[in-house]
Amino acid sequence: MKLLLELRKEIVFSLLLYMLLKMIFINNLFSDYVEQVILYTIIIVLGSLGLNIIYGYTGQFSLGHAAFYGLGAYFSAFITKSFSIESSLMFIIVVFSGGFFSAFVAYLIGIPILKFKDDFLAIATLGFGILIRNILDNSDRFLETLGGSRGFVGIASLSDLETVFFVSIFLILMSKNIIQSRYGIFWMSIRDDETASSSVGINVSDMKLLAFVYGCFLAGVAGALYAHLYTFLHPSNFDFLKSVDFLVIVIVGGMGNISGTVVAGVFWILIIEGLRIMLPAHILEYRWVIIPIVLIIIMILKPYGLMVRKRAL
Amino acid sequence: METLGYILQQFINGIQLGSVYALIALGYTMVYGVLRMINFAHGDVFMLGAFFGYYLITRMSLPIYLVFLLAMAGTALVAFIIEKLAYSPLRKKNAPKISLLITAVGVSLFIEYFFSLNALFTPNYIAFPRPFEVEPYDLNLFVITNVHILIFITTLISLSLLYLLIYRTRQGKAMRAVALDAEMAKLVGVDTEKIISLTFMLGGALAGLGGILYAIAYPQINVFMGIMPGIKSFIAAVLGGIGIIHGAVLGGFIIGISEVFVSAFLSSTLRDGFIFLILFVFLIVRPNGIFGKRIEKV
Amino acid sequence: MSILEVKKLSKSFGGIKAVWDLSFNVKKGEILSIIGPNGAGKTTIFNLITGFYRADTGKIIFSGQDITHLNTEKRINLGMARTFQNLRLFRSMSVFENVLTAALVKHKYGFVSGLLRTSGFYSKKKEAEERARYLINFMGLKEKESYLATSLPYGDQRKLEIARALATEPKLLLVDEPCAGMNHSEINQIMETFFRIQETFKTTMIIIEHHMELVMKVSERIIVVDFGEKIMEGRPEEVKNDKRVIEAYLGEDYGVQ
Repeated sequence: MKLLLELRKEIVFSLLLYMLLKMIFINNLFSDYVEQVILYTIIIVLGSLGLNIIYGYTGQFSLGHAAFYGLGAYFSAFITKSFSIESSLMFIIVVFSGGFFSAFVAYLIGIPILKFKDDFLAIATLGFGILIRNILDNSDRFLETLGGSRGFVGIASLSDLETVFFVSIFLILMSKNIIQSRYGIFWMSIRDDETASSSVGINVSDMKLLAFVYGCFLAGVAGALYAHLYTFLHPSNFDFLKSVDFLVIVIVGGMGNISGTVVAGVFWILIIEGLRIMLPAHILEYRWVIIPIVLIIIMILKPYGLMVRKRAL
Repeated sequence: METLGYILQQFINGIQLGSVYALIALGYTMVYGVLRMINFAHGDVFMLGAFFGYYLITRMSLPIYLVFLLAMAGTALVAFIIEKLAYSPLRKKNAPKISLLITAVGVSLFIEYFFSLNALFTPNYIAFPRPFEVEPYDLNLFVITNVHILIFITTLISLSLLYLLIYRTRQGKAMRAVALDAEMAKLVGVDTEKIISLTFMLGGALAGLGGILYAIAYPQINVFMGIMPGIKSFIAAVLGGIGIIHGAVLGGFIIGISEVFVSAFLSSTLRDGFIFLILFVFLIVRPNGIFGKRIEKV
Repeated sequence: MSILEVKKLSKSFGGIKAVWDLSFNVKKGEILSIIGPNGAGKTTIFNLITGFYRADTGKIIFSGQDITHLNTEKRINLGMARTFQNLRLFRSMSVFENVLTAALVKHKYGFVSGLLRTSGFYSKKKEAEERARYLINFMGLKEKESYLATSLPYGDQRKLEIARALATEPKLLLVDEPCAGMNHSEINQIMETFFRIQETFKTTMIIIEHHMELVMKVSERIIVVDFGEKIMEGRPEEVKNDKRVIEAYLGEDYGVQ
């Protein structure tokens, strides 16, 4: 297909990367912990890409992205646990269904919420995030397995290198396609000027909803992969701070810039995990003191974000 | 169970909570009125009010009104500093609204986590020492305490003073002018920078007062205590019509009373979720709030 | 044959009547101008026609269809296009991308096609890109195609907005103050462009403009509005000498012939 030909650079690069990682994993060059972190990085990049589409490309400021990440995680884990799923193929189907579940919720919420701009959208998404956190905390009241504030335990460890890597790469490449398609350009035009976008006949509310739903789909998939990597879920993993994590990656990596998201995501995890290994516990508590300062400084110095897209796709 | 007395009791409790929310909501609404921005860090100023109160009460023995005034001065100062250091530089650069919002999020997180450091307040809950004994007055149907009364009266006084300031003074007029049309206000000679600072300080002072009152009512403080009340108060401000002063007050009471009622009659765990339900419903049905104008499509 | 019929259109904001009891028809293929003092409600008329404002009373009929209750997107897709008085280009995009965005509205393919790049994707993409290039060339912006849209000189930005508006193949084009901020030679170019558009695409045009020379030369008919009401309608020669028009612009003292 012409598609494969066009993407040959990316495909070759991905295969090489996979082989490299495979070598590393097979020969146990790194500890299990590090392997987990590597897979976690890929997952976070995927999740951040989702937010980048919602916010970086389309300009919709969402502070509740972690909620959709969490919905995908819980939903998929519930399915694999309830149906004792073991095969990789079935797992991939469940992972995608986690994504679709998040996408569906995003659709329901998006219809009323996305009418709002900037600040109000921020509060509404923040509120939704808190609502979901609340629901997850009380989840054992309606479904025992979900664990509520005790956490969801005993999830099958189905996220191996192959599933995480190939699902993510596939979706990242698909996202790249979509961004370079008419939908991507509509999203960007909406970010630039909604009025002008309507004036050329773009259905602004549909396109905004599409970006939101697709971005949350990616978050849901990422969450599903996460759930089966760490095999334990707790509502506190999906709180406001997690949404801020995604946001920082999108901002630092450049809004509307896929490779930037990848680089920033890798960097971010590296720094967080690197610090965790290197620093004694009492210095670690400065993490969330320093991050906001960095964020504020970035905003003051470069209010339009780092690595802003300047010109052509 | 659901006797009249019980209901009235919850109503009294709701007004108490609503008073605090109203005080905080005023800060959100005033800042939004002059700057069209949501001061995300406002809830943390509320928290600092409670902590300032804590230190004033435990380290010095001052009459209670002095504790209030000093804490309010402290939070007013904090609000002023936040505006000058974090928001003003962005405004001067005509930065997009989003970066202002992100900065506000940053400020909020910074305040919370900075004060949660073990060297400072720590992330733990700290018992708040009430500067007086709680005295209940049994009115047969329900019980009203001196805490309730203190909060009602203090809030009433503050609201009255605020109204006087906004509607009877030149500064207040200037604030209203800036809220209506900042450019025009500048042209007629209003020092908008001063007005903005004044607005932040007023909002900060009220939030600080709210913090102490809240701590007196629910005597446990914690560096993260501003998050939920902050969001709920913001929702209250939106409910009443963002930017509209009496809207914030009404919204505050509505949210406070709703929260107490939901907690008492439904379930306390559903408390927070319910407030968001109200928000979503309102955003759909009447996004401009109770006192807000109907929206015009651009 | 009227392509647009505006019937008793009214719009008020608060207590202020922006447009009041306005009625006029636009003949297919003609160039019609709307003139009037500042604040007369001209842009409001455009906003009402294109759906950015909803009329309080009245009807709008476009190509025989009642569009009064349709939203902007639907009206544009029926064949309208507009430019903006204060320019609304897509700031982060190049000249080419601005026009391409509009071209892609008509050249559709589905989301899945976009994801997987089916043949529909490639053919529509090519068509849209060709149309964009053609229009950029048509407006004389070819050399600047890959420049950031907002880096263009002002006159070129206005031309770009027109190119973008034409990308949706409109039957009716509404141009809001195309000459604002332009110099003499640019204005002549714009005049030429309007004639070329009329000739090449057979597009009907409604132009809001203050620059009388252009209005007189380009328009087949002129509508004059003041305080939201139509005070006169006619051919350029008729309008030029009309007492009411002169009064509206220059005040009562000049009303005497």
